[in-house]
Amino acid sequence: MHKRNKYIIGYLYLIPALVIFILFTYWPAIYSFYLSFFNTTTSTGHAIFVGLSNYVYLFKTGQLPYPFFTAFEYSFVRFIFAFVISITLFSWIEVKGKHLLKNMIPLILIPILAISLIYPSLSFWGGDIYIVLLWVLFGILTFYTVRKMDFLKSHTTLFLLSILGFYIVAYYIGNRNIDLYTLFFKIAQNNSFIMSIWNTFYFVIIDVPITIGISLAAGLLMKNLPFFKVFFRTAFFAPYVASIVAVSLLWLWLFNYHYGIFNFILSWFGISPINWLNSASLTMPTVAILSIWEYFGYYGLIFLSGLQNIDQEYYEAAEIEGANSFQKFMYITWPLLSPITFFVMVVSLINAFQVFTQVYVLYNQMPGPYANSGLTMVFYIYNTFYNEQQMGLASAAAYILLGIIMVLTLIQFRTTEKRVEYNI
Amino acid sequence: MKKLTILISVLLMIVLFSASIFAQPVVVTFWEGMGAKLGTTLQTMTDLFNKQNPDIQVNLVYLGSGNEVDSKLLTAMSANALPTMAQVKGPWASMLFSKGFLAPLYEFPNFTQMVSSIYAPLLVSGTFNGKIYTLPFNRDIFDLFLRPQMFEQAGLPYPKTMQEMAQDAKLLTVVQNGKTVRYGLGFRTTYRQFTAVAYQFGGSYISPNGQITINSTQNVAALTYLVNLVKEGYAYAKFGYFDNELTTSSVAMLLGGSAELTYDLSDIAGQSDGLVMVPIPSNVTFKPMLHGQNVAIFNTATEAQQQAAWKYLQFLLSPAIQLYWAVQTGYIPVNEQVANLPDWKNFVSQNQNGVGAIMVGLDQSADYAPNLPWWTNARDAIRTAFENAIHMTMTPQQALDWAQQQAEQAYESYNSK
Repeated sequence: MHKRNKYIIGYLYLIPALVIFILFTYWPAIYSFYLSFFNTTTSTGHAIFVGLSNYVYLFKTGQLPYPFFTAFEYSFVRFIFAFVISITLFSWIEVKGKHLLKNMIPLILIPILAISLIYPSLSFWGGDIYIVLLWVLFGILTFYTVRKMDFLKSHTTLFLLSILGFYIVAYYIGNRNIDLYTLFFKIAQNNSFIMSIWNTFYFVIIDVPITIGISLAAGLLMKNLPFFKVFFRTAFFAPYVASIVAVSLLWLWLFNYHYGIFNFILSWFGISPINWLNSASLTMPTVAILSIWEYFGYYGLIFLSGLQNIDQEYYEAAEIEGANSFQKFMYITWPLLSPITFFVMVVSLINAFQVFTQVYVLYNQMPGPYANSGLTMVFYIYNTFYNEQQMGLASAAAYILLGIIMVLTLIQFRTTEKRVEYNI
Repeated sequence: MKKLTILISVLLMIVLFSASIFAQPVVVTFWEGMGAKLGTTLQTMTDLFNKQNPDIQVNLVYLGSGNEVDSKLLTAMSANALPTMAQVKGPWASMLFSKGFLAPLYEFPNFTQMVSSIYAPLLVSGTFNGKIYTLPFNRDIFDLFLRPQMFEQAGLPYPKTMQEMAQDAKLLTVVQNGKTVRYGLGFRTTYRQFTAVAYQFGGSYISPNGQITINSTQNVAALTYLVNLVKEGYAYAKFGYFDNELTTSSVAMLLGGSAELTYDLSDIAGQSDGLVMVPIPSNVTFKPMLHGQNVAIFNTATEAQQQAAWKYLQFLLSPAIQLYWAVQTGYIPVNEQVANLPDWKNFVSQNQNGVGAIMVGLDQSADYAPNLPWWTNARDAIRTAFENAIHMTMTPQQALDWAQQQAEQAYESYNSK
C-alpha cells in the first residue's frame, strides 16, 4: 500500500511535464500526420481527404527521358565493372605479385575482360537485358574466385571508396546521359521536392564529416594547450550561442563578391574572386562552410569532455612502451572516444538534415541564387506551408524527412554500434 | 462626516477614471512590411493622422518584408487573432477572401466617392466576384532605369522598343581584355521581372476565357529575348539586388520597379551621373506592369475599429498624403487627383531621375499576378523556369512548358472536390 502511494506521487510529479509534452510536441506531431492525408487548400473552403495522394505528389517524376529500367541497367553494369576491378586490385595487393601463374584467371584475365567489355556494353549494347545478365555472371564469378581474401575484409571502407572511384571512371567512359544519377538529376529538375532531397543529402555529405573532423581537432587542441585553454574554449563556443540570423548576416558580407574578406584573401594568392553567393554549384558548400563554423565549437566541447574522461594511465603505459603520439591517438584516444564520436555523428547528422536558417538568411529568403540550388527539405516544407499554404503537402513532406532521418539513424546504430567501446 | 467625504471622493475618482477609460481612443492595429525609408514615411503620415484624430489611435506593427506579413496573417487567421488591417498581396487577399475574413469595403460610407478617384487598373487586384475588398496602397510600376551619361557618350536615344533596347545593350557593353567590364542591360531573375517583359511582348498568364497560358508563344518569345541577351554577353542577370553593380558602373540599363529608386538604387540615384527612369520599352501594345500591395480591413475587428480603419485608409489615399507618399518613396500616387496638383507637377519637372515615368500608361497597366488563391504556386514555378532558362539548364520552351504543367497541377489541386 505504501509502495503504491509512492508510485502515484511519482506519476503526479510527472504530470505537468507530460501535459506540456503532449500539448506542444505529441499533439502537433500527431495532428500533422493526420493533416498529411488532406488537401487543405481548396475552392470548397475546407480540407478534403485525399488519402496518400500528397505522398504520391511529392514523388511525381514527370516525363522521363528514358525508362527507369534502362538507367538501372547502365548503372548496374557500371557497378559490376567497378566491383570486379576493385576486387582484382585488392587481390593483387594481397598476393603482392606472387604465384602469378596460379592466380592467372582472377588477377589478369578478369580485369582484361572487364575493361574490354565496359566500353562496348555502355555505348553499343547498353540497355540489353542479356548484357546485364552477362555482367551479373561475371561479377559472381569474380567474387567466387577471390572470396577468401583477408585484406578485403579488414579494409571495407577502402573497398567501398575504390568501387565509387571506378564507378566514376566507368561513368565517364560510356554514355553519360544514361545513368541512375543522371536520371535522378533530371527528375529533380522537374520536381522540387526531389531536388530538395538531393540538396539536403549533398549538404549532409559535405557538412557531417568535416564538422566531425574539425571539432575533433578543436577538442584535441583544447585539451593539449598549456595556456589560454579557457580563452579558446569560449572563443570556439561563441558561434554556437550567437544568433544564427545575425551570424548569417555577418557571413553575407564575408562572402560578398566585391568587398568580401574571402575574395580579398584569395586575391593575395592570385586567385580570381569566387562568386560565393551567386553560383548554383557553390550554394551548398557555402552554406556548409557557415554551418561548420557555427557548430564545430559545440561538438568540440563534447569531444573535449570525452577526451578528459580517458584514463591517463593508458597513455603512461603506452609511453613506457615507446609509442609515438600518432600511435597513441590511433590505438588509445580514437577507440576510447568512440562513444562520443558516435553521439556526435548521430546528432550532427540529424542537425544537418534540418538545415534551413542559413539558406534563408544568406539567400535573401530564397532557396538559393537560382535553379533551386539551396532548396533544402526544411525549406521546401516552410515554403509549401507558409507561401503556398498547402499544409497537407507540407505535413507529408515533413513526415518523409522524419522517415529519412529515422532510417539513417537506425543504419548508423546498426553499423557503428559494434565498433563503439563502452569500457570507460 | 469624515467618512462621507472619503466615500464621496472615492466615488468621484471612480467616475473620473471610468470616464477617462471610456474616452480612450479606438485602437487600430496595422500590420505592415515597410522597411527603411518607406517605414519612416508611413510613420510620419500615421503620426499626422493620429494627431488630427484624437479619438483614433493607429498603431503600426512592422513585421519585416511583405512575405513575413503574409505568413503572420496565415497564423493569425488560424488563431483568430487578425489585426484590424494589414498590407496584403493579390493572391493572398484572395485566400483571405475565400475564407471570409475581408471586410466588404464597398459597404463603408463615402466608398463610391473614394474609389472614383483611384486609377481603375489599380482596383483590379482588390476586386473579388465584382466587388471591391481591398484598396491599392504601395503600388509601383516596372520601368527601365538607365545611366544618362553612358547614353550621351554613345550618342544613343533612349530605347522605345525591345529591339532598340537589345541594340542599345549591345552597343553599351564594354569588353576589355576579354572581360566584360560593363553590361548593356542588367535584370534580376525574379518572377516580376520576367512578367514585366512578357507583357511588352503581348504575353499574359491567363487568357480571357480562363485558360492558363504560361507557355504561350508570346511568353516564350519574351523569355528567348532575355536569354539571348545573356547568352550573347550583353546582359547580366542575377537574383540579388543590383546596388553594388551599379555603384561600380558595370551596368548601363536596368529593369526594375519604380520604388527601387528610393530603396536599393538610392545610392546611385543621388549621384550626378545618376539614373533616369523611362517607361519600359514595348513591342506590341504598351502594358506596364503593376506591382506592390493593397490594404485590407478584417471583419474580425469590432465595428468601431473597422470604421476607424476605414477613416485611416481614406486618409492614406487622399491626394495630399498620396503626393507626400509618392514623392518620398517612388510608389505610384494611386489617387488620380495627384497628377493635377501643382506640387506634383513641380516635383516631376525638377526631378533628376525622371519620376514622371511612373504615371505613363497607368490606364493600360496590368497587375503582376492574377487574382487567384493558388497563384503563389504558379509564381514559384515561373521564377524557377526563368532561372533555369537564364542559366541555360533548360531551353525557354522547356522551362515554360514545365511551369505551365506546375500551374495546371496547382489549379487542379485547388479545385479538387
